[in-house]
Amino acid sequence: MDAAQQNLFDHVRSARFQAGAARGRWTLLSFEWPHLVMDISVRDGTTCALRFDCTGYPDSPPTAMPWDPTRQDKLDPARWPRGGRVSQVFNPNWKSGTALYLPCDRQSIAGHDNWNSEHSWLIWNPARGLVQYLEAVHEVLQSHELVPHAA
Amino acid sequence: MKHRVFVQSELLSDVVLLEVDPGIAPGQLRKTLLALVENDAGGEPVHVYIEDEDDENTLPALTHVPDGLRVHLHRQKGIDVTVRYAGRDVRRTFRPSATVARVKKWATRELGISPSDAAELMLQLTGTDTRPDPDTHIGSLVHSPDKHLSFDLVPSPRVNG
Repeated sequence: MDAAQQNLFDHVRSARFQAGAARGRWTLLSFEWPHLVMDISVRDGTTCALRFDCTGYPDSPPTAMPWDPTRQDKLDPARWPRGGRVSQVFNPNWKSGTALYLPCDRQSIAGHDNWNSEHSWLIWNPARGLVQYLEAVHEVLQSHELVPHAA
Repeated sequence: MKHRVFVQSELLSDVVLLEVDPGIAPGQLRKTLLALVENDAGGEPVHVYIEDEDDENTLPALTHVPDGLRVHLHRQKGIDVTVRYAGRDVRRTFRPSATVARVKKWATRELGISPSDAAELMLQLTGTDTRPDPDTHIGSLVHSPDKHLSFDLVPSPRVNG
C-alpha cells in the first residue's frame, strides 16, 4: 500500500468519517484504490452515489462523478440530482459529467483562482480530507431547491 | 460486540471514537471519557454532556450505551450564543454539546425564517470564513474560559462563476 492509498484508508477509518456514516449522511459502497464509491443521503430520502478518483491523495484533491453502482458506470444524466443550486454543482455538461462543480474538486478548481477568495471554506484542505468533500456534497443535497425525481 | 461512542471536546483537535462494552457502568464510562482530556484540562473540572441534551444527569442515568452515542467534554457548562442575520440578532445559552444544526434550527425559528428558506442558509463564525459542519458541537469552537460564540447566518454557496 503506497502513502496516498494509506492516507485515504486512514481517513475512511477516521472518527469523523465514521460519525457521518453513523448519522446516515454517507455510506462507503466500495474501495478499490484509487477509486472509492460512496452513497450520499439526499433530502428526499433517496441517495446519490459518487465515484471518487483519489489519485495523489491527500495532496491533490479528489474528483468525483455521479455513479450508477448497478451498472458500474457514470450515472445517466437524466437521473442526476437537479434544481436551483443543486444543478450548479451537479452539471452533466461540466467536464463531460466526470466532475462536480465544487471548489474542493481536483478537476473543477483548475482555472478558478477566484474561488480561493469567493469560496475559501470549500477550497481543498488535505488535513480535513475526503470528509470535507462529503460534507460539501451532503449540504448541497439537503437544499429545498432540489427537485425530487418522479417515482 | 462493542458499541461506538463519538467524542468531541474543546480539548480534542478532532472527533475521537471510543469502543465500549454496551453494558459499561455510567461511572466507568465517565472515567474513560475524562481520561481522554485530563492532561489538558489544567486541573479544572470537565463536564460530560450527551449531544443536544440539556440535562446533565442523562449520562449517569444510562442503563446501556447505545451504539453511536455522541458526547461532549467541556470545562464550561453553558455557551452563550449570538446569531446575527439581516441587522437582527438572537441570543441564548446552550450546553457545549449542542450541535451547530440545533443552534441553526433554533435561530432560524426565532428569526421567523421558514424551514425551506433556512435550508439555503448556513452558520458562519463571525469575523471568519469558517462554516462549521452541522454535526459540530459548539463547545468544540470555544475554549474555556471563553464561553461566548457568535455566528452570522449567511447564504449557502452558489458556485456559478
